[in-house]
Amino acid sequence: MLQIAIYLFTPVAIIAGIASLISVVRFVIGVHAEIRKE
Amino acid sequence: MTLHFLDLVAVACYFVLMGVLGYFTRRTKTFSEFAVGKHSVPGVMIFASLAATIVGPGFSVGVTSKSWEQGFLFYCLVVVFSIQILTTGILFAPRLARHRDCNTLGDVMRKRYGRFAHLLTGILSVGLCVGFTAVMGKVGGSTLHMITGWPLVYCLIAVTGTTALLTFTGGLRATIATEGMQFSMIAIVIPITLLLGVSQSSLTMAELSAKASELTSSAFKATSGWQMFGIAISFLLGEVLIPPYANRALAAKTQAASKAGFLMAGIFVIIWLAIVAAFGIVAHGVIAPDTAPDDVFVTAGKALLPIGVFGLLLATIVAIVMSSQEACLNAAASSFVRDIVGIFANPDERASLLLAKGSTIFLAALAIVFAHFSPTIIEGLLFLYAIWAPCMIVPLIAALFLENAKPVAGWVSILGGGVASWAWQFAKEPGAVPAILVGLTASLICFVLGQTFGTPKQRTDSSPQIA
Repeated sequence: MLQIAIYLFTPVAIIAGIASLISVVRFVIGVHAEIRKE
Repeated sequence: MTLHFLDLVAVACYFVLMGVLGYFTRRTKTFSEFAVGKHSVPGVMIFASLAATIVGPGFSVGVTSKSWEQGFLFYCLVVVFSIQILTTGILFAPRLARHRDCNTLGDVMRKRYGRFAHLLTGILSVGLCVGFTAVMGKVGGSTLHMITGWPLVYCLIAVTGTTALLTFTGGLRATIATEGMQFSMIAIVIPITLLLGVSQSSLTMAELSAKASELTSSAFKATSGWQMFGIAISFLLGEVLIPPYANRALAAKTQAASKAGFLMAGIFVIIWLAIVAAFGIVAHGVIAPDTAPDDVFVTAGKALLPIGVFGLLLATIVAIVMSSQEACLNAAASSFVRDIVGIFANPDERASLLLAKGSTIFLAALAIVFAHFSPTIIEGLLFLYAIWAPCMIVPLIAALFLENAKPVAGWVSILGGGVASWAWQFAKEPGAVPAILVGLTASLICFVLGQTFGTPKQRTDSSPQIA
């Protein structure tokens, strides 16, 4: 269990974090553009 | 705790970043925007925001402190929580997302059971969310107190106050944006800290695995079957469709986005809990064995991370607290306006928005006061679970699946489940049977009786029981 957590889950979580970071930037740009348009 | 200047800079940068995100997403013109972001949030953001909300202090610092003492036993009990999120994703979230005319859970309940059930749902939603905000705020305030050395009361005000300001200015979309960023920090910083822990541990991987087995088996022998069942059932059912989660289902752009967001979050919970549990075990090779369990997370982080990066870890802990608080405060304010004030008055969009913003501040102040009396994080969560689940699960699920649910079944089920759970807790849980289970059984019986003997709903917007 310990080794699965360290060697498998850890990289998956980091990738999810990076993917989320990209999505947040896109989301914020989209919302901000919408606000400016209004 | 003495902090280096660079660590303080890292914490300050975090607050600036949150302010910037809040600024770019801040404008809300209608109550619907404030409460459910105009039903326009994509699936990935539902996932990130939901995961950030789920990963509160209990599911990070709390799990690490438990695994420091109990190995993977607590992980095995708490991981059932993911079943709840996955089930919600498959069965409940898409059905909730169908209700495009609803801004809160109370709205959904009203459609099936009428005004009285709507009001009860509102009172429970607001109470639960303020309780969660208080419990989380205490952890955040204590962390800030440890960082700065300021009096605890100022730290409680700083953490919960900042969260309230972010929620106040931007509504759900700002909340989701900041939560997404907080999720990114959480998902990147903590796993990297774990990897550093493995590389710097004084114990080999084989020794750490042996330590994990030893801790897990001794904790298993020391815990009774009922105790384990009670913890597992609380985490399995305690947070089913609580308002912050339900609001995300309602905010999703489509039913598919809602489903995808919940499914990804459910899978992430399995991964995340294993990481923080592993951190508690790896810490045995990093810090002194007499470290207090609640301090393991921060102490191990300080031992592992270089100057400046440790500040990032502290900022991440504050992010863990704030992300959960934001979701709860937004849900509490929305529910207060819609499900409590809305029962007795009919404010227009502008008045509703102003009221929601004002109540955000008021409820945050209430949470700061309650934080002084809140118990430890896990105890606090278990107490709140034992109130929400017995009251709401049965009538809410029935509302989503039964077209002909009868009004009396709804409110009798809420009251019956709540009273039974409360009474069982008051009696100190005889026979170690969990209060949540007793309350749920009572709620189900009451619902069946109400559905059997009750009269059908006559009108769409009011309950005959209080008409």
